[in-house]
Amino acid sequence: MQKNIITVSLANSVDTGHEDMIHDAQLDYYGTKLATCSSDRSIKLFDVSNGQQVPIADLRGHEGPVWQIAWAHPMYGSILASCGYDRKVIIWKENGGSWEKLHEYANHDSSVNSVCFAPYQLGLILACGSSDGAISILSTTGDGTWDAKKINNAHTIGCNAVSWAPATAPNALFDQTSRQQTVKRFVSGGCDNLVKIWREEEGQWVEDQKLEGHSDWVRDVAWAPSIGLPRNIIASCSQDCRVIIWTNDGTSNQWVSHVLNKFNDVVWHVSWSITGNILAVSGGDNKVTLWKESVEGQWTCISDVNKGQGQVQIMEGQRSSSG
Amino acid sequence: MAAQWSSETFVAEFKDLQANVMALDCLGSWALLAGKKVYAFVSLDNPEEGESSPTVVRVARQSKWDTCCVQFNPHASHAQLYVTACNQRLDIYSMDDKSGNARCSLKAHSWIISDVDWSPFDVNVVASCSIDSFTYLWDIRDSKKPVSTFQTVERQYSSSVYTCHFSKIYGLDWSPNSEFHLVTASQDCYVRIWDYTNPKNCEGSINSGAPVWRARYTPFGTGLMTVVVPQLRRGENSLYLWNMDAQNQVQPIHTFVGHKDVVLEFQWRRQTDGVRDYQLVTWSRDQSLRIWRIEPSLQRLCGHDTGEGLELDLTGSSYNSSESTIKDLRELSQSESGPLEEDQGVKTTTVMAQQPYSLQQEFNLMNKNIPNITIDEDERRSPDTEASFPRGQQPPIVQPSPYLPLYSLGSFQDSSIPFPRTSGARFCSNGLLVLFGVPAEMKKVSECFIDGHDTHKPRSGRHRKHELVDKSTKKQQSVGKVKIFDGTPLLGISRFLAQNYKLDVNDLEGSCRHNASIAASIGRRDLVQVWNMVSVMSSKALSPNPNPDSGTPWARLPFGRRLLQYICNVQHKDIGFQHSSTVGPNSFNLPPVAIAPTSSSTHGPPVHPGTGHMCEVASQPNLAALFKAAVAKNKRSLSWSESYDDFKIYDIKNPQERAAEQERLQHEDNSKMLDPARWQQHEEFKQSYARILYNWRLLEQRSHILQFTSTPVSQHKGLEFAVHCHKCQQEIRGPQCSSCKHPALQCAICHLGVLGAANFCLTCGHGGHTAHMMEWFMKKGVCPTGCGCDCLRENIFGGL
Repeated sequence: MQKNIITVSLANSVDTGHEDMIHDAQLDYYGTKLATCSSDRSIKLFDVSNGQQVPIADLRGHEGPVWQIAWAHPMYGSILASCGYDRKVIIWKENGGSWEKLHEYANHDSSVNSVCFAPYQLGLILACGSSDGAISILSTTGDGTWDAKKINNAHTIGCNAVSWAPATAPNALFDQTSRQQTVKRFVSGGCDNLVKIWREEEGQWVEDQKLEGHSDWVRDVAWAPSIGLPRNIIASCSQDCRVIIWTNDGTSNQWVSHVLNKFNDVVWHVSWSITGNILAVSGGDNKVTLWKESVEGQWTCISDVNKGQGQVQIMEGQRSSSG
Repeated sequence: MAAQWSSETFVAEFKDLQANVMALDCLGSWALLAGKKVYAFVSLDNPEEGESSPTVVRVARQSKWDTCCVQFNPHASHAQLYVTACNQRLDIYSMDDKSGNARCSLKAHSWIISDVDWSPFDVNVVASCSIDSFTYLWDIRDSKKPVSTFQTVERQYSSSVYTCHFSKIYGLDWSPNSEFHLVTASQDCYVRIWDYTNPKNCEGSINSGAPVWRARYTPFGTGLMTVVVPQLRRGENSLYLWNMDAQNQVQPIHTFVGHKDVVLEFQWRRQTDGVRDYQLVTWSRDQSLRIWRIEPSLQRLCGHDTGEGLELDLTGSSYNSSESTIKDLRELSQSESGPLEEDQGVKTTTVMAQQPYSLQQEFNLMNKNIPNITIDEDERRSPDTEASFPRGQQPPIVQPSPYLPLYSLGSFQDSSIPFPRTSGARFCSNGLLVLFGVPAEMKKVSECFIDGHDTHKPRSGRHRKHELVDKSTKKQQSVGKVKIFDGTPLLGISRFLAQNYKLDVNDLEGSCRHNASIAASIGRRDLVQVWNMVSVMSSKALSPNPNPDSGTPWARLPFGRRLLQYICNVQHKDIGFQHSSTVGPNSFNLPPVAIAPTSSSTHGPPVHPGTGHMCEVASQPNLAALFKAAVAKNKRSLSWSESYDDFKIYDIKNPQERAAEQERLQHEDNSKMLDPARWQQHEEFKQSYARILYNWRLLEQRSHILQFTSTPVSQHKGLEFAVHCHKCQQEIRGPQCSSCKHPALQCAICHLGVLGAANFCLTCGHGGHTAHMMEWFMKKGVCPTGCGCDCLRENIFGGL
């Protein structure tokens, strides 16, 4: 294909009114509600549908900075999970237009750094990674009780990020005969410089893989959404300034690492598009770059400021009318 | 040397112990003197010298190593616990346990441990420093490894995050006021205060001009007490008191003189109730234990508000005491501390000559005249910060930020909490990119760009890339806006297409043409091509003939299945999403077609994944559409019950017929447009596309796509009725008890086992075939078995 410019236009801009730094911002599944969390201990919700910025709620309950938030699939209702420095995980739910705490989990001994909801097919399940080195998996059957399983010492010193695998059976794409039971898996990254994959086996969480490649704390991991290709992809980023793409062919247990890039600063965050083919990388230099895999399997930056080339144009201002 | 031999209240000698370290328990009642052979607990309330003294409890010890340091737990709840450092190992003991066995041992240091301290904030946390240049924080509940590690001495090639000192560290103390602050004393003559959550930053330092052996906070005010390294400076046996408060900390505010040999250890005794004076307990190499009283005047010098007027102090007791100390000092310099006088005789004399009138005055004089003490005036600039970065390493990873979080909680583990992200980008929903914390001075782009792939003429000059962040605006004074960008064009999917695609199973060809025109209307020429191709492929003329002998099915020809597959793949990988999704729809369509004329439908149109079906949905998430299409095909093939039924029947027949049947099945497979071997993948495509449609809230289109998926029957979850066999009490699944073959349910009317619909009385448990029960209860209200149960009434009330 020839190279074309693709315009990424500014759709909305929200003045959150937070009094301190924002640590995370996420849209819900429909792209209509924005949640932000901040060091000012609050979580704010905005209705951003149709270009508006209407505050919906200001959730207070954390006693320290709130690090991360996660939306549950709408089939479970409007549910948001948050975690913070106060060692708590709080699950919030909208009830008749008002937001309230659905559940509070305080069984970690240190800051909880990451929360992530499992794919909706697996049920309402939340994984939480904490600086005490443990990962908790909270699940509910919908009757108001929450069950917690804890993987102690998942990462020495601390766990910084968790991300669920898409709900596809590992060999589903090859096994033509039967549909296997979907395996619950997620990936985590921590201060031991490792990326680990966890699998549920007979109700217990076991370490499936240990991926070594980073030379400093792993700050974020992201399992790419599946669009049906027979492979698994995980992106991890670290304070060693590198982003590593881990791929697995879906049949074996082999994970192949490929260093996407070595950045000039620590990398804090990686995020996949829903199609699993574009990766957004952000880091300590406050820069954001977008990466895409070509047909040949090469990763290229499609929004590199310095090189002045690429395919993406990000535009502020009004959207062009063509959409 | 100017000296204040202040209010020393008690001296006791314990020559026999040969102790080199000392510790006080947090209740202020015991001092532990530790030597190579023995640990002695000395009651501070009534210490008596001598081997048989009842106030001294001895615990024998066998070790070839000296104890490097001892420290009691500062929490009253664990007052009996103390930690000792011996060579490279830390041991936790309990005073109650006279056996001398350690509760646990902490091993990680690779060289002799020089000092250890308990956290005043967490009962389980211990900090230790060692000659090996590392400082560790431990949780005594987890003795395997330290919870945190800091390299506190710079090494040239280390890449560690923190260095403060240039030489080995002797002493360490935990700040009583801040959970995160430690003070360390080092051979490099500096005392540093640092925050272990941000160990790069030295928050205060004192240059004492001599290697510092111990540095400890005072329990009052902002004072800090130091003693210099004994081995190097004979005669320098004094303790210095500093006020670390910003403006005052340039000079030591007090000096304690009295020991005849070097001070090995000093610790604060807990204040007894009702007494305002603090007590300092020191242990010296002269084997004497001394207790000093710290009067309010001194406390005030450390910034401690004693709640008493200044006047009173200066004119009262402290003045008197200062007089007496001076007297003592004279004695001292004359009799015992010869070296001291030689060293600093001149200065000392000066001080002596000017008899101070008040403490304040005296201190002023004294401070100017101490030769050994120079104050590092720019400690606030923390020169160590620069020094702490080994060559070639980047300056601090973390941008100094005006809004560091306000920590209200805290723990020793904070050092393992990563620095918070201050900016980031997240893909949410369908390709919406949320940016936060990015001070976005994005370039305004004036040129008009058109969404989409093919309509765009490649510009000759490469376009400027997008500057998401302007470096120059790193620090924003207020919290930046959260920006939402529409990144869907990047993904090759379009809501418009998804909304307008058509997927009509009965008219695949037409659907494809419709979809092509939709794609054309938004300038997606690439998609137009795909749809056109799929449209041709799905034409009725190419429908497979059910008769295997009528020729090779279209799907088997080069432009059949393989082309479709290729299209799918391409779509997938690159433009992938849009294309494939579009194709997806096509293939979907095809499957339906296939269904209609069974074998043919599978063949032709469905060839491409989802060509047909998806028309509506497929437009945007091409890939997804593809997937769906594929699924549809699969489903179709599976749902083709005819052939399977046939197969079963044939199975019983002769081999020839069976062969024919197999051939037929093979043909059927061959005539499918989508490779049946990949149906699972196509299924995935469709599922993914459905997810995307869901996010767009295009629920109609979504369910349309999902019609073509072959979702497995979901397993039953929830309540299930189980029946217990009333003969053998086994749980029965199915109509018969597996062990005794008794029917699970027996009809009370006809006495046969019930296989179908049944009704039972919840009270007496009798019942039977629904029809029989209906008949019976139309006329009667009581149980047909004659058990006497008024079933109708019971169940009404039961229901209530």
